Amino acid sequence: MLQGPETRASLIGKLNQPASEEVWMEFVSLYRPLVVRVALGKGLQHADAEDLAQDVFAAVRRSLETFETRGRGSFRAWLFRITRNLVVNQLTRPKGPVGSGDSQTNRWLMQQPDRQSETATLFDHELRRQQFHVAADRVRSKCEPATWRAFWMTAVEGQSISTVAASLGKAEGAVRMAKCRVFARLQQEAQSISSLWETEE
Amino acid sequence: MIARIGDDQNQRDRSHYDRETLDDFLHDRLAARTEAVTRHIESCEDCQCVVEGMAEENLSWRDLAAMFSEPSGAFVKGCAASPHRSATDDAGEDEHGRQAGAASFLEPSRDPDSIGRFARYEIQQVLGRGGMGIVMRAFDTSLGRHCAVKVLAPELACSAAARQRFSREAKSAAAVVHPHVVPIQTVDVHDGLPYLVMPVVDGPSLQQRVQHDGPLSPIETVRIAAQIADGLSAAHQQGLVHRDIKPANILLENSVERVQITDFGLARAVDDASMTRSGVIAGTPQYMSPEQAHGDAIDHRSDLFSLGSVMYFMLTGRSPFRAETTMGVLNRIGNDDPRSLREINADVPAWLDAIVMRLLSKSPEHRYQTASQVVRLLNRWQAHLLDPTGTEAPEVQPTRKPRPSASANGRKTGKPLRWIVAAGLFCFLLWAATIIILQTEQGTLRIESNADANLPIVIRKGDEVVEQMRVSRAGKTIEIKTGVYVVEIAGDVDGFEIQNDSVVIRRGATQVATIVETKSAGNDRSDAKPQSADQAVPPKLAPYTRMEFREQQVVVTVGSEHYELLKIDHLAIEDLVKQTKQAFGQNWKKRLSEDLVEVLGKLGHVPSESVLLKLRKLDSGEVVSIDAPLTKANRNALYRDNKHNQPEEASVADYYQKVLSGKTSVKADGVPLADFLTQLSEQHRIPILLDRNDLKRAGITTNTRVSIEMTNVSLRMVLNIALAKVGCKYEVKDEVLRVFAASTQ
Repeated sequence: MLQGPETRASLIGKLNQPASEEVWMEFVSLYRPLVVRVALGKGLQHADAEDLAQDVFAAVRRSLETFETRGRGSFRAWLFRITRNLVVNQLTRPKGPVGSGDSQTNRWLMQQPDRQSETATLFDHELRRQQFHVAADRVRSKCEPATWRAFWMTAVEGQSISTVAASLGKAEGAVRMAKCRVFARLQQEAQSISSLWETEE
Repeated sequence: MIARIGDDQNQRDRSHYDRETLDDFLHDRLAARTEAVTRHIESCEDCQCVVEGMAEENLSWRDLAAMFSEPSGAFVKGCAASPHRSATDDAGEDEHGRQAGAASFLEPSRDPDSIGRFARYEIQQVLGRGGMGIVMRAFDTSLGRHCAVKVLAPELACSAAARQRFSREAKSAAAVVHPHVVPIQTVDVHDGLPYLVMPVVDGPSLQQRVQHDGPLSPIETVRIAAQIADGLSAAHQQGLVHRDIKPANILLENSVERVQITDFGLARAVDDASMTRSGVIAGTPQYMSPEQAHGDAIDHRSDLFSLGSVMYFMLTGRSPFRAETTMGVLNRIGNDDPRSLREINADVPAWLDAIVMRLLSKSPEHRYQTASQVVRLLNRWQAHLLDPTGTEAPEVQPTRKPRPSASANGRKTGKPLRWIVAAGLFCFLLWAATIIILQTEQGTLRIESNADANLPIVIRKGDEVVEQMRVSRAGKTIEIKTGVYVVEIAGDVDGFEIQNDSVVIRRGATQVATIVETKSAGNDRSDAKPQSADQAVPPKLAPYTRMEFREQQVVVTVGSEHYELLKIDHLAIEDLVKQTKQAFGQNWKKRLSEDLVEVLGKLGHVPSESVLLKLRKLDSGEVVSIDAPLTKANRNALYRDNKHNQPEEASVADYYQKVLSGKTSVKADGVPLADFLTQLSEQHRIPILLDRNDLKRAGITTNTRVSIEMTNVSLRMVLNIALAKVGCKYEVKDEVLRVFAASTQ
């Protein structure tokens, strides 16, 4: 575990201090692309997706004022939770006159009971992808380039062990084990991102 | 601890490590003898198998690969996990998904020719899949005839409103009975899926016909257009607007070549179902009317605009408004005048050009007002064309005057110049240097200073400084190429004003500077004198079917072979390219490829019926000479293929996207918001407007302090983070980046 969950007490009153500002920047950097992707996934135009992301983070920022009543959990997890809720709500709730201009559309939106859970599923799915992409960036920088390539070419691009071994000039066993070990590190890294930001304590 | 099972150094090959050791190896936790263990495992397949199994205990290899697949791919997967997909999700689905989805609702059939059964129909083939539904070729078992069955897409069918809408529109379309409208025979529901049944029209669509045979003759165009207008007229009388008239929806019945319009009224049902939050309709918008493209209310005259686009397509082989992206097409539909038909195809008579251009008027008021009016007009012309002596030519309609010229600050009304300005906003420009982004065609830019002192001005294209100078009252003129430019003018100013083709920059009541753009003559078609009817327009002919400009060579296609072009008659290609560049400027590639006869003529060489091409085979390098006839068919093929010779159009919106996505580093420690934005503006050379009034209303002062320190992140991210902290947002609208208060919710 990289860092234990921060306690509520330690954060109250520190919101405008550099420490929590860093958390904020890190937070937005990490999750803004995710919010945009989920919104795109729900069929929004790119500009609207960017707009939604802005709305969400502006709203999250505003909620910092009510942080005291946020309930249990770490500051990071709390940020994550309200963001997820906002995204799911924003993408599920009919948008009124901003929509297609046809009241029919809104009525359909209302009629689809599974939309909320569907959006949540999409969010979580994209979240997981996001974790792995971030984790991949981090792991790659810590690996030997050849080790990383052995992993990427076999596990992600689906090339055979023998082909990759030949092209990298390595033994097949070494390629096979590089693939496994990088995979293990990747999972660990993704797990640590997840437990830092998304796990309620 | 490292334990070996069957521990014996001499039996290394048979001995293996226990799971705990292998797990440590996998997770880089080996405490000792790391090298020896690694060496063993890397050569022992059994241990490798165990490690591999442990690695995928929580996540399979397959899932891992899916994580890194293309975003859209994963998106489809994410959606497929939920049983009902929403209408808007449809856009992201890939082709495989569509095909699989198409067949998913079919029931098994015993008929070997059938891919499945739907209601009383044996489905033989999926013909296509549109935004709304799936069209299948089927055999009606109870009536013993072939038909086309269109089923509402299952992912739309989960909405009751979509189902009702589909049925209602299908029923009203079924009420239109006319020889030029494909009849709807049945409207029904099976297993919760509404569907309709139409007869199979044997014959190509207009799209296929033109793609296959090339552009049509004027007389054929008039015949087909008259029949389309006739069908439209019948529907319009019932209050039904087609909304999706395009060549693919016009069917030409084999042998009799009777025109039949299909998909009546259904476009509307699709729009409502596939509309995204932005109100943009999925699909190809190339034949849409401006009011449709703009999302305004439409009436039957929208179909008449689309008819004009279809006629344009018949005569030239392409739609009048083309661009790389959907937004580009919509933008052109709303703002651009199409290129004259006669310029593309000299065979088009002036009157026909006038009819098409009138149908393509931006304002519905300026078009013909009813489809029946168009039918009458086209029928009279058709009679005249068939029997020029027996029937008189109809009077040529007075062509409406061009659209009203642009209002002072409305650049969206179709001016050739696109000034990006902030006129009319109730806020002040922030920075000390004024920045204007302009999108321009090749030509000159003239800048005059009205201030007493010389005005320092920098003109940039991308990161490159094109010109850096000081401008006095005498003014300066700069040659520019097509593209998006950033003009920076030092000094405080507080307003822009557009006057026709110029931008006036003011400070208070004083004019600080004027920028005037003139397009170069070689390129400016709109100012050319209209040519009278048959004044020697050079024929549009070509000796090859494709011409492509590569870095060091020009490649042409003759027959089915590709060659490097060395010479045309006595003209070496290098000289030809050089001279064409001089004569035609930035459009030279297009002109050299499409208007060869004209180009050669201009260079003093009038070709005979054929030209002698000196060519080098691309594969063998062998040089050959071919006497190639100049034909219209070649030229048509070349013309349709010629997208790769069009100059690239970068839009202002693209420019903003590029800047916003670009990586940057910022450091601000308690800097007032206004100053912070000024810095960003100067650093990235984009205008940022701080809407002070809006901030004031929301109770945010422009002195609010901003603190942020980030490296190597996108400008978009910086804005997001910094602005969210002070309760603001930004938007790029009318090509200005505006910062305003985030609404309180």
